[in-house]
Amino acid sequence: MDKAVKIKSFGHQCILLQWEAIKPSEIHETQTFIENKYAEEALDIVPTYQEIAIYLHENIDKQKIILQLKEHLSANNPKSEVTNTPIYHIPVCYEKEMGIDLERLANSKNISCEQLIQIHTSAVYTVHFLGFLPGFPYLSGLNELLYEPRLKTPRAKVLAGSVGIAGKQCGIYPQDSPGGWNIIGRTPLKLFDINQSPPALLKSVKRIQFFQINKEKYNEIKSSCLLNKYQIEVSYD
Amino acid sequence: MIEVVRAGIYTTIQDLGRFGYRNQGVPTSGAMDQYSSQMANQIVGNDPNTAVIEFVLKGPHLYFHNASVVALSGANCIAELNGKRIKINQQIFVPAKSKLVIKSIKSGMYGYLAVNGGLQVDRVLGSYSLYPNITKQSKLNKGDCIGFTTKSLSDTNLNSSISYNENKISCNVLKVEKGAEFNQLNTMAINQLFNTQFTPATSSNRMAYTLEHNIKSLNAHEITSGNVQTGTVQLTPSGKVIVLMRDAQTTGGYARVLQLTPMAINQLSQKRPGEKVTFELLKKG
Repeated sequence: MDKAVKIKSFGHQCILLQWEAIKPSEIHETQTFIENKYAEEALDIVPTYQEIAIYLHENIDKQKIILQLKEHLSANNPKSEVTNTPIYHIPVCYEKEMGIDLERLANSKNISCEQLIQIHTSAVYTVHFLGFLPGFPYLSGLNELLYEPRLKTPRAKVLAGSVGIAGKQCGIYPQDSPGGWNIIGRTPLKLFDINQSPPALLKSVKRIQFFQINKEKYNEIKSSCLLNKYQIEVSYD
Repeated sequence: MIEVVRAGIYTTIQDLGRFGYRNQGVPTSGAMDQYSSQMANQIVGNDPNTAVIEFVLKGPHLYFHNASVVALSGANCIAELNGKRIKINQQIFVPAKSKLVIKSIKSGMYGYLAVNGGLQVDRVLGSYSLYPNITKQSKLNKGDCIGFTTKSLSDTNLNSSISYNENKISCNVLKVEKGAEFNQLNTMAINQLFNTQFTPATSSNRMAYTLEHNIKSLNAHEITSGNVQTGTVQLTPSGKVIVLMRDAQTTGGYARVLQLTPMAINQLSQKRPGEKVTFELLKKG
């Protein structure tokens, strides 16, 4: 794996770190290092699949930080230690009215809806980063059988909580939004809530697994979420 | 208190943006033309980051229940206070029970109204800027009432002459830096990018300006979702040139060919469909 990092300027007061191939744990490790080292200088530190953007305050010398990063990051390749991060269990109702594309997907894969749900719930997903909408997680770990391209024409409205598939990725819509992902279910959890700190539910969550609930349980959990009384179940390997 | 009598097309409240939450997928938002929003604030003696009212193409009609000192800046608008024409880029004393009407906008897109002391609105995640699902409302509607605090007028120099340089904003050469995927472009594409006049499409809004052009062969491959920001110029596989603006999402999958300088973002925000802009590479050092 090529661990060499490219460090470039990305417009006014922004530095972009790029890797050819990097594991989520390595991105996370580098991100933590930068967060600690540049807590004062950085306004925002944003990871994606193979990048970290560092947005600096107006009065910070960008060139100086680029030089420091070049020195530090070339000498210290991120280590890909496998640490047992906790798995958060996300309830999903896969019933037809919520998983509006589930049956079509199952038919195109020549499997039953139950099999599709079983495949989707048995995998552990890595939360790479949040983007697209406030609190929207980009998840990897989808079983190859379930890979499916985006809809040709995006829907005008996908409901909050919808769990979708696009290509190799899985994601959860935190709010009602236009969208082109294939929707297979819906979670009653609030993915983004400005009254919580942090507002994004999955901000520091690294791994999740879905479990199936029926509509009755969906409504029950939804009510307890409104009262901030729902406790997400957490497990370790 | 200011009452919205007529809301205009898309009237919002903006400051200089919401920072510290981009890694949770929260857009930065903020005034589209920050040169002008800061100017409006400066004229009434406010800090540059004070919340202002932003309007686009067709301004609002506002009723002031209380007296205030205000300033209009940005788009060149024809405005009346109680039926009398008022000028932009200068302090205006607004008596209580006054009607301030933006009648039309002659040139530019986004206009700003700063109120001495600042608007009394909710600050959410460190910013007053309205954005759907972050703030309670995403834009101002008819009937909305906005409180404001008034700084002692003796603190405000009513005769202050602050010069607003209109040429700074009307300039149609947008200075840019190379974007993350600039090097994927071949020489011909680079020549085309810097020698073509682009014009904003009518669909342009606070999220993005699509720039229309007639180059046939210009396009780029999609990328693995990466970081984008306000001023990122994206090139799509079908050849669309999309410049991300203040309400843009934090990550995206199109090739990032150029990055606008902060001033060029302000300049582009004021360009109407039909007006022409060109890109010019910023010289280093």
